Amino acid sequence: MSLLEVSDLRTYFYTEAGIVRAVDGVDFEVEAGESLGLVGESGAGKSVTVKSLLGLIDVPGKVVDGEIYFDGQALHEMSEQELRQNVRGSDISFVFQDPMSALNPVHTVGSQIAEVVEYHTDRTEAEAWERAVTLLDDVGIPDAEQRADQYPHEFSGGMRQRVLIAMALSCDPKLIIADEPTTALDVTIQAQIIELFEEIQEKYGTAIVYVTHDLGVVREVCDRVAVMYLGKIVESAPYDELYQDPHHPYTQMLMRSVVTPDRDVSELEPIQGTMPSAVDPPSGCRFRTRCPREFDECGRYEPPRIQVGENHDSACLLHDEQFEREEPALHLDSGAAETDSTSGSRGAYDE
Amino acid sequence: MSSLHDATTGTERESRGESPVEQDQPLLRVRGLKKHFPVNTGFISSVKLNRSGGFPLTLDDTKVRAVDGVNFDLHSGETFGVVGESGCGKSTLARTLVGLEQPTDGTIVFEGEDISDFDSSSLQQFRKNAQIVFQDPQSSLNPRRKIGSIIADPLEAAGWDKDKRRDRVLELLEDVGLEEDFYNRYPHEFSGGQRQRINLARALSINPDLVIADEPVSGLDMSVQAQILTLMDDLQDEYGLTYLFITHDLSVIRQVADRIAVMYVGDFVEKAPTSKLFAEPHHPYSRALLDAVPNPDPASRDLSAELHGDVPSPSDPPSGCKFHTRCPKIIPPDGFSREEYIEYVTFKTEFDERSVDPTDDPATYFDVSLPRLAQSTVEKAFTLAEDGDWDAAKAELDTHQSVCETAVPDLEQVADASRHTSACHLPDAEREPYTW
Repeated sequence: MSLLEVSDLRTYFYTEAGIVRAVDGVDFEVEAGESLGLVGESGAGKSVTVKSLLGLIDVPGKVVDGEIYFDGQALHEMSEQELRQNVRGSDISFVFQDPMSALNPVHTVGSQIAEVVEYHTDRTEAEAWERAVTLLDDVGIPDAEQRADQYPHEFSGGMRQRVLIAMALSCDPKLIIADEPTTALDVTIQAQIIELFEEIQEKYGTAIVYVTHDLGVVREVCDRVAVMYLGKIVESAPYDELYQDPHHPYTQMLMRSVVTPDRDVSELEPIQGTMPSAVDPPSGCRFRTRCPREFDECGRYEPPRIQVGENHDSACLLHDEQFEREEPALHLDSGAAETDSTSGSRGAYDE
Repeated sequence: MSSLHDATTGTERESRGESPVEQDQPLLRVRGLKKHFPVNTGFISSVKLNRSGGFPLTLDDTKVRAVDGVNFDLHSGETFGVVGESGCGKSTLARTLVGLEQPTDGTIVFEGEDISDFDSSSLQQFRKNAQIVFQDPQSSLNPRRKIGSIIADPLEAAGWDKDKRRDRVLELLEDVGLEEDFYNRYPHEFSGGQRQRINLARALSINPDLVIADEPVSGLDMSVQAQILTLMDDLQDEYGLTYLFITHDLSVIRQVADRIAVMYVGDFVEKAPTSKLFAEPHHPYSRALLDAVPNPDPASRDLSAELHGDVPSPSDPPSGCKFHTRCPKIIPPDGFSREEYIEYVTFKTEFDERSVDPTDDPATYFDVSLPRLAQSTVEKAFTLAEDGDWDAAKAELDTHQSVCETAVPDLEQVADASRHTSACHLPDAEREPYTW
């Protein structure tokens, strides 16, 4: 059994403008020690998905359906109190995007970490403080003993993110959820934090769910990726395979629109338009309004996630034999060299 | 869309960058530009108590040297990129160039006219010709005003009448890929990408020659980034624009810039044509920046976090080469290996911050053992510091100094590459080829 099993998760927001179907039927699993990247554009529902796991959805939002099993426990059946005492911060911890707003400005960082330790374990105050100092040292904060006594404003952005990571590690979690933890940081600091996540995985074998829109970061941190589009997972595969052989038209276009340091502007092909509103998502396949390969049936059937390789699935009707296309409408010859080299293998599928 | 970005656009760009047509007069010429901010504003707050004897009050005139002597030429039709970490002064550079800040020193010459005084009549002309696009498209649009009137603002200032303004705005909306009926809507109805399009339309409304873009795509999603970058590329051709493009993102700068300057704590440390900078980065800082960029291609090498610590404070920048405190390629003085000297420099920085306890065993501060000469220096410094004389201790530690700490490197031409300059003491022969 997997460490985390999520099935048919649905989180809706009841707003004046209508029901926002932010997450609308998401299934995924995370094995112990594995790191899963959750990627997609803003509004795809990545953050809402991970917040739903821990009951962190506020009014007017509500988890309306779905089952979440973590290590054999049914999280979807737990009360807020049970989640707080037994899961959040201990078995599953969270690293947020903005470390400044996640830390309390009027308490020292050491006391904030020690508080978590005291709450979840039976350590005494002094032991908890000691643990906090050790953790700060572990995440690469120099002079941890003195720094533990300082306030969040005395830390730089990168150091604050290290503090949050130390806090996340404080109760030896089995799973860390990181929601865009490096988006606000400089590349050089981002590189340090990425290396820290890699070290953590190696040292503690913690499973990680890493939410980001940056494929470069996913490549460094994650074993497997799930691509989200408008509240659904459209493709899931080991990262290298997804990069070299994306099956879903959205993933294919995403790969060609991504700005990378060694690609020329001539190779850049932006996906046109914006994601439709989650209040009134397109019928059938949600990507069809922007998809160059759309055909009649796309509006009629919601595509299931079809197995296209080992550990690789994609939710597109094109993968279903009964909807095979004579000629692929999407030509890949004008694209990047990387996609060129893989069009052969995909061609075999499209025939 | 792909037809607009076929292979020829790429080659044109490359050739423009590598063998540029030298024009007699650059569009913008910047020489020795400095912008310093006082740490204490006003006389009262800058008076400090001085307990070291003598007159009991001193004047603290510490300055944040945000931009500290920057030179460059911007030629008509090119895109010049400035890249650096946060706090390196790149946004202050942009604000100073468009006159939002008064420069402390230096000259800005636009189309042959000196505008750095900002009181001449040339200023108004300059404002018609130079526009700025900011990072945050949300806060740079007034939420209570309609898109149409926001875009028409510069036109109104330039004295256009109402009907002409309206026609022009509708034309602009189309140019930036928005619909005409957005004219009467409000900023909150738009996504980040659309708002940035609105900002571009406003900047372009009076047909400027120069557009200064300060992190225009930083807050946007990857797919939207690509849209805005290709739009800016199209607009450049259509309007004959010259861009000064400021960003921290090397992947982005590679897409747009013909030439790039790498900025570190107020200085340009390397200037090169884009293809050159990405293929043969010269300065160790540029190399470290490139090493830190995550690349989605699994076939490329992993990123490495070569740089430790944060950007030093621009109010008290390191001596000599400002990068020496973090440089992985520092030139060690006689008797030290590079590895040993990097440890020594890190220790000196900690010592300066007084985060060293002089009662400790000095050896605990070093991962590698220092040369014997340096060991005795450190021991002497510890004894002095223990007696409370930190200044003497610091002087003692400074008996070992690298050329990187004592001499400021000039931006010099890199071997056999015209227009590629770098400010580093390290001889060319000691650089390894750079690979992705």
